[in-house]
This record gives sequence, structure tokens and C-alpha cells, in this order.
Amino acid sequence: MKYSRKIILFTFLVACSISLAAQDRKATVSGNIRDAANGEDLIGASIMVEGTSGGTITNAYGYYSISLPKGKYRLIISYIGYARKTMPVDLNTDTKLNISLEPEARQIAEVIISAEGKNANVAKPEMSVEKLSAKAIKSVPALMGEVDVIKAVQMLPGVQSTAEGTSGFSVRGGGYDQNLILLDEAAVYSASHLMGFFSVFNNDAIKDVTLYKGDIPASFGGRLSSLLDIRSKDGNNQKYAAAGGLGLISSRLTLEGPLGDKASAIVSGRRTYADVFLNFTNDDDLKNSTLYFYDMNAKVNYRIDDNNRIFLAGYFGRDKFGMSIAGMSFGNKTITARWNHLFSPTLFSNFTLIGSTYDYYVKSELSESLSQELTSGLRDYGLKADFSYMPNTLHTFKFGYNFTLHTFLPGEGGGIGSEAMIGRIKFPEEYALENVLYATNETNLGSKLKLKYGLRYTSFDNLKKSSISFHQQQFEPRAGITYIFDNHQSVKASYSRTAQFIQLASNSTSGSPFDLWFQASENVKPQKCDQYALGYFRNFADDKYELSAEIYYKNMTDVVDFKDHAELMLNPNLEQELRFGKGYSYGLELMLRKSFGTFNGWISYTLSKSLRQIESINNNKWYRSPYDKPHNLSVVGTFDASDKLSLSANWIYSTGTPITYPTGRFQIEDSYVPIYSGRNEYRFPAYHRLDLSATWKLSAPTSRFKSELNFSLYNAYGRHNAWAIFFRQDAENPDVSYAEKLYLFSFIPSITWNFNF
Amino acid sequence: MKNIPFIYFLTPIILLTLLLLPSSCKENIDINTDDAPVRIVIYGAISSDTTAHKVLITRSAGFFSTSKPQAVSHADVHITHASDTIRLNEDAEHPGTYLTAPDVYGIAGETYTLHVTTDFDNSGKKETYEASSFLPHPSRLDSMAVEPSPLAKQFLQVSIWGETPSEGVNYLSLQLYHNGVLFNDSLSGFSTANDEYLAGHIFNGVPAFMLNQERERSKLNPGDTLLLQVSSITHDYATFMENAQWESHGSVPMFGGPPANVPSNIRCTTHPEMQAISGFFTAFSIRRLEMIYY
Repeated sequence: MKYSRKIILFTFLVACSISLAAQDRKATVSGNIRDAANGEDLIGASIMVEGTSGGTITNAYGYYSISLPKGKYRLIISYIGYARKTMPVDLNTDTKLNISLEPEARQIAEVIISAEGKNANVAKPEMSVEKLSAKAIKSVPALMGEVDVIKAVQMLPGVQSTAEGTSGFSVRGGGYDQNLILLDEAAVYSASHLMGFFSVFNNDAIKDVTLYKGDIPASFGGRLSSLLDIRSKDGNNQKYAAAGGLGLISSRLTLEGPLGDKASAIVSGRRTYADVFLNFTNDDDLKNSTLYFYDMNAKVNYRIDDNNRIFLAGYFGRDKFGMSIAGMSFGNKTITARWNHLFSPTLFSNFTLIGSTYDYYVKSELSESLSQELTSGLRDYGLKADFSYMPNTLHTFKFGYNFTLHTFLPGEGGGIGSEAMIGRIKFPEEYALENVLYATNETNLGSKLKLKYGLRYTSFDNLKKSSISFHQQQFEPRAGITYIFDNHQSVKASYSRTAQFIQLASNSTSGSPFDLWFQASENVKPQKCDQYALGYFRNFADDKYELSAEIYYKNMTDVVDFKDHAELMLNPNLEQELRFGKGYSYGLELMLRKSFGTFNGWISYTLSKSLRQIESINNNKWYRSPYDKPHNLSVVGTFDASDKLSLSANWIYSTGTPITYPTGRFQIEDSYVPIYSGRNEYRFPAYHRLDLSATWKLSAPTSRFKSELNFSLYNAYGRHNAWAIFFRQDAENPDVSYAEKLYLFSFIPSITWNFNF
Repeated sequence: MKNIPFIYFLTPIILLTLLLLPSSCKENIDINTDDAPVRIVIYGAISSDTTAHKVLITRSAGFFSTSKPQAVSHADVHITHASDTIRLNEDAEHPGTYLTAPDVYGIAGETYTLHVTTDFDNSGKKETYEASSFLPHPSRLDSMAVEPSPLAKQFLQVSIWGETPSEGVNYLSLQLYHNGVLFNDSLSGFSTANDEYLAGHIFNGVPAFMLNQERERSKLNPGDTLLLQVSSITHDYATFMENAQWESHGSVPMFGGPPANVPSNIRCTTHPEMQAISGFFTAFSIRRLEMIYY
């Protein structure tokens, strides 16, 4: 192992040396690629050098840099949904070239599923990655009309919902706490509103969504299964604009515009109003109840000069529910301050300060003596320094450092006031420090072969007050290779190791707001995963159709699970409830996608298996993970029937969720208690659902004020998909037991009015 | 009491879920499962009351079986503590029910061990099963009262005043007799609590039962008698009963972990590797309060 690490470091250094030696004969063209209509930076736009195989793509800030031998060139800039542009460049010296791309007139109205260069899926040296544009997410029919990023993500290959209607998702058989969800680089610890029925992400504020199911860049880590990287809009720097909507359960409003020549800002908020309707009831208790969530995204960016730009972004969201005798609230807050700095045209850097908190509060007010409260949560502060060095078209080096200070607030609460009969309890705060160094290189070996390799090093310290109580370090190698047959097809392979130092204590398969994060310690090793993937990528019909087939194998060690009947809430000896073991999953993912045109969408199919073996669970035998659903099919389609009417539909099928059924019973206290099968030995009935939506544009295409009505029908054929199965004793004949299925939704229609100007 | 905050904290969560699920519904579903192998079920207790203490021995059955549990007869059953042995004899009218003599009582602070010997698997060789339980010290009960509940207008709550033993965490089970009829007479009504978060081990008007005055069964009329029985139980028995209650309800994805068998404290001493045993043996002390409602 040590030997292989040395080889990687040696190769990296040699590549750097060769590149640096060639610098003095070259010049660099660099700049930002932007949307001409609103000035938003375009992430993943393709810049190719005509007549060569060289090129690059813009980074997360829309920045590109290409170093070439001095001479004359033509750059071809492309991005799906935008008119391709060719720019001549006379490259005798380093040149700054900012480029604005015009949205293609026809495609303004169309949904663009993937926001990237046309054949990016074939040519980019990355795999197991799914991208969604905000427009694609908006086109997917949504529960109660609430457009939802995570619900769209759940229909991608290799991804599945953890339960009907929830925002939890499993990637390639992993747990829902094994997904790193970032909003503008800040971790979002609970991505759910209203017990999971809606996610915390307001689609109006989102620019770009990327899901890494494997092959996670070395700059990211800390979770075993996936990275969901969500970037918010920067704000229109061309004109003042507004967008919003009125729905059945919520309304939203987004305002954006330029602040002088160098800055722009965006503010986006939404709030549900179920509690408003409670005022119309005759019941006084209900009248005085609160039931809502709100969230707000705000971002401002300021371009100091060509080499410096700063961003400040924040998210603030909360759910509140209260009745006369009890109440609760929970929510996330994130804030990121970023500074983009160009040390030179070839050396891009980004420095980020990050803060993220999640907390919940529960209160009951039965009487003065019995009133009590409980609060818990966690808080992160972090710093990231990321560098991209692009010495030529052959190499892109990325390296950086980041640290995060985690503060865990396991719980504090008890009786309220001097009359309280219940005592107070406070679990001491816990701290952890993560220090990370990483370095990667993407290199082109000729015109056909691309290589990517890197290493992430994490030092994790579990801190108890000022002393380090536990130290752990992990090396996480990442590597990938891409062989491009031609512009339309390629094969890729990747390997990645990921480690997870903090995990969720949850006695739930779908997640709840009261789950508790805890850290690795002397007794809890970090979970580790080695993932291997191989894929074939093929585009047809001038890149209109994208086909991908990937197989993967994941081997997980030190997997954490909980003993039977574990007590996780307010348990000072939480670690005693943990059990450890191993797991693996493997699968085949197929995806056929049409990214643009009047009819577009995708079909994804996943064939997979996911098993675990945990000490003292299931008699130490292997058992299906809760997310083992061998067959998973999603069909998503959008059709622009006319300039006025757009139709969308999606159909989802999956094998039933694994479940432990009672196979025997015994009697105590005149009641029957089940005796269970092996863990997850049986399955729920298969899940399938059809959703429909239609969007009717009310305004003329030339009108400045645009509005539309969206009608959606969730679960169109009213399938009664099981959410839970209970076992009951017959009231008339208690010796007879029967099974009862609880389903959440029959069909749910909704209507939303959207506008923008 | 630990389970009081837990229940009240769950209240808003469950209410919210119900509000969010306006179209949720239930329907029967056919489930086909194999039957689990038959296992011995031993369930019994000894208390501080002077009475005939009972141990039930039955066989488990397939979950969708429609008949009552089959009794295990002719077992040799006795309870030991210190150097004493208490014999239990099978009730002639109720096969599988084994009773002590009526003048037997348990002593707080003692440990009792149940011994059962029977040829359960018809192998021709008898197996011996054993379980032990400490008999906890009782709580002091001062008074009880019936008062309006802040939960909802239609409820009256039975509140109690008293003190639990000062050492460690004490576990209680509560039973209420309304005009001599046990109000919480099923597993789902079995009420457990502990004093882990109770300031000073004093319960000063803690609500023990909620009585819905819109239901005939729990409606109180002037002159009705209420007898409150507070049993001091062991942590292991409280856990067993809570787990049994939880499993008999069925699990919900958002609020519960995976279903799991309820562990038993009964062990087969002749085949220590045998896991397939259900039931529990426990010891507990009892205190009572009685009042007339007016």
C-alpha cells in the first residue's frame, strides 16, 4: 500500500515538472463564460481549440483557462441550450477573453435536461455523475406542485427514494446519511421540510445540480456514497428581474438584479400556509396552531477586478409546528463567503469560509409542573482553499486544503420553570476537527486517452474539550481513465475510496428531523468504501441522444448499524447501541437521455443488489440492506406541444422495499407478540406510480410579464403503494391476526401559478 | 418519569404527520410467509402480594394461526430464592398454567429464580429452562386525584403523589381498576415509567392515566371506585414489555427501527446455544391507592 502511494506521488510530481518546463513557450487564454441574458456564469461549458483535440470546460465559477503554444487559434464555445460561438484568438501573450453565450431562441422555451457541452458525457474524464438543470427539475411533475430537486434526483439511475414521499435517498445501496449534500459548498445536514415531504431547496434559486454517485472528486469527501453538489444562482447582472409562484400549499418569490456595474444579488424565499387555512376552522385549538415552513436563499457577488471576485451566500430555513399543548421546530442555516482569485491566468483559486447549523426544538406545555423542552443539533465552521492549475491543454492540477470544526449538541432539555417536576439534563457538547489535503491531476495522453488520479488525506480528531481523545487518518485514492473512441463514444473506468467520520443515529429507514449525528471515536471506526466502476458512453443523432451503461461494485467496511430495539434519543451511552460489520453492493445502470428538442427526457434502469453483515444482527448472517431494490425503472418525459402548452409525465417502478415480516407469534397479557423472520427476508409489494403535469403559458412570448399555470396530478392512477404494513388482532376474534397496509397518497391534483418579469 | 416526556415529545410529531397525510388510508393486504419453528413460551412472575403466583407455559404458533396457544403440560416448575424452593403445580382447569400455593409472597431485595423442566421437543430427554429476577423495593404512594386534563377537554387525568426509592433509576408499571375492573387490561395498555428525569425522585401530581369521558368504558360517575396499583419492576422487565408493545403495534418507517424479536431472559441450561425461547420471568413489588370519585 505504501509503495503504491509513492508511485502516485512520484507520477504527480513528474507530470508537474514536465508541464512547468514547457511554460515559457506558451501563452494563456482565460476568462469566464456567461449567459448573455442574465450574466450567470455557465458551469461546465465546453471550450475547444479548433483543429486540435485540446480543450477544457469551465469550472464551478464559469472560469476557464487554456495554455497553448503561441499562435493563432479559433476557440469553439458550446453549451447545451445556447448558440455555439467561435472566437478567433491571436495568442502572442496571455489573453483575457470573457465570452457571453446567447440562449438559442427556440430552446429558451424547452427543457434542457443536462446543462453542459454537447458531448460532455462522452468526453469528460468523469463517470457516475448526473447533472440536472433547474429547468429539467421544474418540468418533473411534483407532489402538490412543489418543484423539488431531490424528487428529480430520485429518478436518476442508481438513486432511489428511501420511502414514499420523502426527501431521503439512497445511492447505489448506501444509506441516506451517506450522501454529502452541499449548498454553495456548505453541508446541509437535514434536507427535508415537513417530515420529508419536501426538500429544503427552492428551485428558483438553483443554478446547477450535480450528483456524484461514485468517482467523487478528491476535493470532496466525508461521506461514503455520494455527493450532491447544488450551486445557487449568482443573480442577474443585466437587469432587474422577478419570478414567483402561488401554489396550493406555498408561495414563493425571487428578486434579482445588478448592484452597479460590478455586483449582482438574488433573494429568494418561500413559505407554506397550511396554518392560514387552520384559521377557518371552528376548533380553537386548531385556530391557534402553527404549521408551516419557510426558507430563504440570498446571494450577492462583487467583481472587484478581473482577478478577484467575492460571493456571500446564505440559506435560512425552518419548519414550525405548534399547538396549545406542544410544538416543535427544526431547520438549517448555512452561510458561505467565497473569494475567487487569479494568481495568474493559469492558476485559479477559491477560498471559502463556511458555516452550517442544524437544530431542532421540541416543547410540551401540559401544565406548569409538566412543561418541558428538548433541543439538539450540530454546527460546522470551515475553511477551504482550492486551487486549479492549468499549465496547458494536457494537464489540470487541482489541489487544496480544508478544515472543518464540527460541534455536536447531543441534547439539552427537561422541565421548564421553577414549578417543573421534571429535572434538567444537558449532554456535553462534543467537537471534532477534520483537516484535509488533496491533490489531483487530469491529463490527456494523446487525443484518445484521459487519465485522472488523485489522493485525499483526511486527519480526523475527536476532541473532548481541549484534549484530543481520538485521532484517525485516512488516505483516499481516487483514479479514473477514459478512452475516447471518437466524438460519440467512450469507455471509462474509475476507482475511489471514501471514508465517513460522522454518521447519523437514526432508528428510521427514511429519516426524521430528530436524528442525531455522532462522530468516530475509540469505539467507532470511520466507515470506508472502495468503489469500482466501468462504463460505456455513446451519443447518437448529433448528440441528441445519450446512452450510458455503468456497472459498479462497492465494498464497505466498518459499516455502522444499530442493535435491535436501540435507544438513540437522549442516550448517554449511545455507542453501546451500535453494531459494526461490512456490506457490499453491485449493480448495472442504464440511462438513455434526450437532452434537448421539443420532446426530451430520460429512461433509467438499475439492476442492483445490496447486502450487509453486522455483528449480532440477523444471527450474524448476511441480510438485505433496507435499500436493496433489484429493479428500478424511471421514465421521465417532457413534450412542448406548442408555444403555449408543455406536457410532462414520469413513471416509476421499483421492486418492493425489503421488510421483516412476522412468521410466528406468542401470547402474553392476552395479546400476541410477533416472532419475526430473518432481517429483511421479505419485501413490500412492488412500487409504481405515474405523475402527470401540464403547463399552459398565459402570456405572449414577447410580453415582459410572463405567467403560466401548471396543473399536476401525482399518482395519476391512484396506486395504493404501501408506506407501512401493520399487523393487527381482529377485534371480534382476537386469535385471528391480519395485515393492514397504510398508504399515503391516492392521486393528488394541484395547480400552481408561476410568473416572471 | 422517562416515558412521560417521550410520549409528549412524540405527540406533536404524530399530530403533524396526521395533518400531513390527509389522503392516507389503510386497507387489508394478504401476506404469505413461512411459519417460524415452534418455540417454548414461558411467562410468569412473583410479586410482593400474598397470593397464588402464576407461570404460563405455551407453544408459539404461525403468525396467521387462528387458534389459541397450545399449552405445555406436565412440566416441573419451581422458584428458588436464597435456600427456599417454591413449587408450582399445574392448574387442572387451565392446562399450561402453573400456580404457587396461595400463601406465597415475594420479599423486596431478594432474587428469585424460575426453573422449568420439560421435554418440549419430544426428544425423550427433558430440557431445563431458567430465569432470575431481583424483586425491587416499592415506591411510597401518598395520594391520588382525578382532575381535568390539559390534553383535551373530554379527558380526566388520574394524578398521583409520592416518591420512588432514592437509589438509582426506578421502573414502575401502573394499573388502574375502575369499579374493580382492570382498565388497562391488555399489552397495549400496559403502562411503564421510570424516574430517570424526575427531580428528587418525587412525583408531585404526575398524570398516570387519561380517562376519556366520551367513552363508556372510561367514563367516571359519582361513587365510582378507582384503585391505582403501582408496581416496582426491574429495568429488564420494563424493557421487555416496551419492546413487546412496540412490536405488537408494527413499525412505521419514520419512527421506528427495523422489527426485531423481543429478547427473553429465559435460558435453556441443558442447551445453552438455544436462542428460540420467548417470554419472561420477573419479580415485582406492589403498592396501591384507592379513592371514590365524586
